Amino acid sequence: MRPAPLDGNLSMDDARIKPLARLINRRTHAWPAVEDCGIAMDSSETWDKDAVAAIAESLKDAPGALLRILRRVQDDLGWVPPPALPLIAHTLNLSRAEVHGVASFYHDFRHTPPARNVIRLCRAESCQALGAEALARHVRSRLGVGFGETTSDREFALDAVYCLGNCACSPAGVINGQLLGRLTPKAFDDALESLVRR
Amino acid sequence: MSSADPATIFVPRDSGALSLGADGVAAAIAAEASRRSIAVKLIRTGSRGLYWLEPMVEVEIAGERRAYGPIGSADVPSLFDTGFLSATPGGHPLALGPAEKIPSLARQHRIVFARVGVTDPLSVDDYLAHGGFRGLERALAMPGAAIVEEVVRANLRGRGGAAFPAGIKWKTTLEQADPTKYVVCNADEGDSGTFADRMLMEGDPFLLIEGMTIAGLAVGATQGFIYLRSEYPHALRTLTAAIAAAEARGYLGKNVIGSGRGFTLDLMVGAGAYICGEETAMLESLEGKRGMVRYKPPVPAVAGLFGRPSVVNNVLTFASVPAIIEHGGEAYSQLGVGRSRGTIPLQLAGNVARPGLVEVPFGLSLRELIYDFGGGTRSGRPLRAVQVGGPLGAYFPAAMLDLKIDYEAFAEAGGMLGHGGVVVFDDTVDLARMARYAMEFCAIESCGKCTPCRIGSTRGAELLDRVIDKRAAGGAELNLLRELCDTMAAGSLCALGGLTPMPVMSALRHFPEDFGLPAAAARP
Repeated sequence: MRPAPLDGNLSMDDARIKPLARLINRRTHAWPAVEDCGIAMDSSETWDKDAVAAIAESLKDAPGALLRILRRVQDDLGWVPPPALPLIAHTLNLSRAEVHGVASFYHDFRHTPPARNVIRLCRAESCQALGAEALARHVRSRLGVGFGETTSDREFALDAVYCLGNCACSPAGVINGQLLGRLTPKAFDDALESLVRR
Repeated sequence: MSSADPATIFVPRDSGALSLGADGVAAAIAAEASRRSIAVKLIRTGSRGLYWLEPMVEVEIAGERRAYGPIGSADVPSLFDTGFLSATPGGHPLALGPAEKIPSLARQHRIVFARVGVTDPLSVDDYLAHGGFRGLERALAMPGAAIVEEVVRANLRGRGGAAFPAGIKWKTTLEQADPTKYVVCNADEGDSGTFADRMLMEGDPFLLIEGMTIAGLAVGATQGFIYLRSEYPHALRTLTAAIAAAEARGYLGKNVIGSGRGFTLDLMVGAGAYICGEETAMLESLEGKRGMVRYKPPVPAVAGLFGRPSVVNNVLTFASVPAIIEHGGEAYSQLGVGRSRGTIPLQLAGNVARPGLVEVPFGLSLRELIYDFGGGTRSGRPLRAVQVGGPLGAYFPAAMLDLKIDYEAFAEAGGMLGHGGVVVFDDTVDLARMARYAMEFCAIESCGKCTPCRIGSTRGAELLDRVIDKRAAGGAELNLLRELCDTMAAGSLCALGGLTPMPVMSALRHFPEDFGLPAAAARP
């Protein structure tokens, strides 16, 4: 169902835009800071501002700097915190929109803090030919989450991946960075037992 | 080998072998040798590509490599018990005999993969001892145009998927007046069912470095970029170390082997976007932007990376070049059939008994590949379908297995060879679901620039959901699906939207019964 259109004469006091309007600085008309835009930041979502600043500074002159910076932030922090984007934009003299556009385009970049254990299962054709869908059902019920989801205690995240280049050892998956081949439900359970971070 | 020399044992560090426990096997060998006070030299190699035998351990005795596999850590003590390091080993149940004589390997014609699984990927000396850098030495003595001429004469076509003649690209870049040009390697091997680029980068990275350096000399570029997908952390580690080793030995840098000519390499890791395997999207990504496809013209050979003339080729294309320059384009062109010359590294995967890498001259039939090399299905059930060329390639029925591995033959049969991935399915496969998967994959990976791909793929997946729901009824959905596929094929900006109809329509054409049609009705 579509939301009701914003018709008629809108005022800044209109209930429908009030939540946003409140955030706009009435004197300068500056847009609100990303931190204030309703992106939830509970106490566990702190991020290392100095680390991001150092990464951005060290790579700002590299060719294709923006993607390299985001890549390094993802690798080092385990996610790309949305409030880090304005900082990166400022360092590269880019608009926030440009940085947001790149950060949101690529599947690798997480925008919420990572789970303690990240499991990735390949869902591409070769793995499908050898039972990847049955394996996926097992893993989903074992972890209690679907693809793209994280358990509420942030212990496990399950991601779909489309080819790990391990097609000659299908079905393939990754548990906490460790590539696995010829996975069966039992082999998965055994690997999970030995690779899980507690 | 004198008795004083430690025996040399080879254990792969290829990520496929690692996924099956190769690190544990290597550790177990070192521990067992130490426990028995036997001196051994352990060398970590790439994989020979015989993955059903991985982890495959080799021992060099009197100049011959004897293979054992698949070896688990628990098998290691028994290897020592049967004297696998002695000149007359006592026969182990997992003994495979001389590695080179394993039938699936002996029948191959390896040019690009000649060293993979054999040498230490990070040893410049090992690379030199196995004929490395001879192409580069020769290229340094040739004018750029002569190098390009050899590549043209070899009829080398891009191994990434599009099969465009590499020599023509190189020639175009050579002719540009811009003083700044780039050599760009597309190592974003995203096609499911393919892993040859990964194997090569992990098993013989100097070959890629040599090929790219030759390309730089040919077109007048001094800077190269490798765009590597993030799903390949082991390839990243190996390539990074190999680039440093090549620089340290003067094979890369400001003064390549004392020639006074420079070539440096920069490695960039992607961030999980299939579309960045499309060359213009890859260039955007290399520039740090969203991986959105560019309009062509201008082609990258004229205006590529950062707007400069750029040679853009796949890993295997560059890796084919050193042998072409060393032995001449004519010799390379002797191999193959029709307009498909040289060798092609095929990747056999899916439900197949002996999956792995098969490098052969063009002209082999799918049947020979799947049965002679692959040993038929792994499940032992009848083969029903084969997808060739990655997620955008066609599904063929068992009746079409006499198709020859040849770009033109595949195009004529309504398919494509692509990057050489071959995925086998047994009779439990549901082609309507595979067709739906093709649409879903396109929807997930579309860059969003053009409408047929961005919207069409989502509508296609919805249509196929309806088809799957009411298979028996048939009906209007299939006509709509055909029209949608026509629109996507004709109206998309690049191969992702343009070729997604290929797996869908080939599934419908060859397997109509899976779509609720009578078995013969949909055939043209």
